[in-house]
Amino acid sequence: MNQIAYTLFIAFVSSVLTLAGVVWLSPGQAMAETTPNTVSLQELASHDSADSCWKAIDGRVYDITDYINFHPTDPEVVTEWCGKVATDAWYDKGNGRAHSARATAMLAEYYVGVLEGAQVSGPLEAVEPEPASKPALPSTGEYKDGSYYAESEPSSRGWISMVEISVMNGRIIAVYYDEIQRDEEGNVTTRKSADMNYAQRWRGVSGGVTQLTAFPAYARQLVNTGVPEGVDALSGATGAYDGFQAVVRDALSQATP
Amino acid sequence: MTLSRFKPGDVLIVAILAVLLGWHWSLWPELASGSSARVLDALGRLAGVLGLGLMLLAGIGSVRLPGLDRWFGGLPRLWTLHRLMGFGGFILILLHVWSMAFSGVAQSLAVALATLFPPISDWAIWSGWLALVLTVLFLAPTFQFFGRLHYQRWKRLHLLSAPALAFALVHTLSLSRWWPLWLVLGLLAFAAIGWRKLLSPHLGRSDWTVAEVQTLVPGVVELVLDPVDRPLRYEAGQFVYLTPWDERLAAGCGEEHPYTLSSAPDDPQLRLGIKDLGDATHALQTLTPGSRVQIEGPYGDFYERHRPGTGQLWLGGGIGITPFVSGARALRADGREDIQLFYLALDSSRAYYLDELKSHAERCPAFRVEAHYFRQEGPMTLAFLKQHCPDFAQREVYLCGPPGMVNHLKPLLLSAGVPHSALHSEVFDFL
Repeated sequence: MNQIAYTLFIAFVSSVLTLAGVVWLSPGQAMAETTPNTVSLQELASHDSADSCWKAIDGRVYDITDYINFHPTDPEVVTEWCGKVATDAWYDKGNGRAHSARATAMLAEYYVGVLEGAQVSGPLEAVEPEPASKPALPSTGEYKDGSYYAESEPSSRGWISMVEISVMNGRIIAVYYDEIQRDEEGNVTTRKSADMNYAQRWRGVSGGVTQLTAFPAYARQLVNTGVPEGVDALSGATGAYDGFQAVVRDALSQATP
Repeated sequence: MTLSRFKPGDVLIVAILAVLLGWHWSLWPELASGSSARVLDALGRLAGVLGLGLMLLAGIGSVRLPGLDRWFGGLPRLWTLHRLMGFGGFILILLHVWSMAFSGVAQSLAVALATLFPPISDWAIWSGWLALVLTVLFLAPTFQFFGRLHYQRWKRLHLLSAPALAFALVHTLSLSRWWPLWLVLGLLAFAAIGWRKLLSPHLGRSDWTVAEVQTLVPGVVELVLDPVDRPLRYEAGQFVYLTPWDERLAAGCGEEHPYTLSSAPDDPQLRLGIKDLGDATHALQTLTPGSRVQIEGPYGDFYERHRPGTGQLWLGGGIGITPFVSGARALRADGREDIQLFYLALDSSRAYYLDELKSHAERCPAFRVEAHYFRQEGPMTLAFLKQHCPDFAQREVYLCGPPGMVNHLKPLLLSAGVPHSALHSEVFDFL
């Protein structure tokens, strides 16, 4: 009897912890989901700055304040729509093209609630991308000729994502992506692509792929497809993928004709 | 831990649980609803109902009111019931929490987790959690999650059951529409715990003075007690809780422990045979005559008859001879009851009480005594029994002795055709 009680107690604790762990590890499953919030137009309008930027897209309200700095374009392009119904801007980025499916998925993380009066069934269904919004791959003649450079803010561990993109005859012909660290004077002290020790440690965690092939793979895909949306993440190197996407978008925003 | 035979009190327990489950009749169709979420939800609620019901009944069953225990076949059996109900209640409450949480998974994981961990303002759920945490705390040593605990410390920790029940009731009363029955059961449980822990030490005990401490053999004494005011009404074979108040005791002063009475019910003095088996019993070997002790009881139903009219077979060993001493002392010279006692001892030097038992056999023709010495004969055999009591298998059998002896004799007797229903033994090694 003692053993049964002990076994069942441990099973109970384990399953509750597992449940808690699964919820915690599923970022899309925001706790807000349990209480479908209704956001009034007034409340939406009060979040109209880069300090607190809410937007209504397809009847759902998102707080994208934290994303503004990661957006590929200048912040003003984004903040212009803060506090407003931004459905049109979502489906037309200004060049007649809608945001990507990936962007749609990212949007889910910033979900706040349902816009008052909106006919939305569930609180958190990712906004379906318009079929027409699929990027035409590869796109040619999209970019101005030249070389474009961008780098990110240092991460908590001091890593800076950097990319250089060369465009010739409107097409991306070469991409160099790396992650670097700088000392206080700004001199580059480390670059990941040359750090074999880092690769060795990474290999132990990712089960194979490291920056040695992941970085060139992302660069090659960008050359082949011509758009960041055409680059697929390698499993085991998704962190680098996010960094790559952010700086590539940043760099290409300068190359938009 | 077995519960042979159904007792009248069992009917009461089953009836109360049935009423609780019946009262929540509206949950039953849900179990057949086909939707896993609804089934789990209803299952969770019913498990909670049954779990709390069992916990409350376990609490009520801890009242230890003399006489009441006989509805349940004596205090040792009632204690077994208490333990089984506590065990069942604990498992069902784990199932309750688990089912309630996982019934939310169909909606979303977050809903499931929010069912378990709502905002702090949702005090009904949190009081349920508090009750569960307290329950784990007071049951962990009972189920020996972390090894054995000192008996007195275990007893004190077990008191956490009272706040646990209180929080569980707060949880249930605020969430359940069926509160009147919960309230009644809750009040009964608290009355029982209140009586046991607060009132009975003052109202339930009687005062006695130690008249004599007779050493039977080294390590075994018979305490002889004089009543201070009222005498005790009891039957042969019953036991009492004894609380010594002799401050010169090395251990156990003010602690209660159960001991079997060895005196006959018509003896104005109370006698208890006590063997040195632990700290408290060791200290009692040198209890000071004239000091005060308190007695609570009597409990048990040792000589309960299941097959009236048949002869009796008594098998006693070690300090387990005490209920038979009480029984023999109570025998009337003209008694017709055919009784054969086997006294199982290591050797003649450890066969205390034997001379007195033989004198009772001379006094009462229907009572016979036979000693069986392990050193000479080895373990008891059917041949030995048959030789001295040819119709032993047709008798109602009363067993009392160390676990090794009982565990040897029970299968032996069953193999000889003694039915389960004819076997009696009360073990109170953990009361």
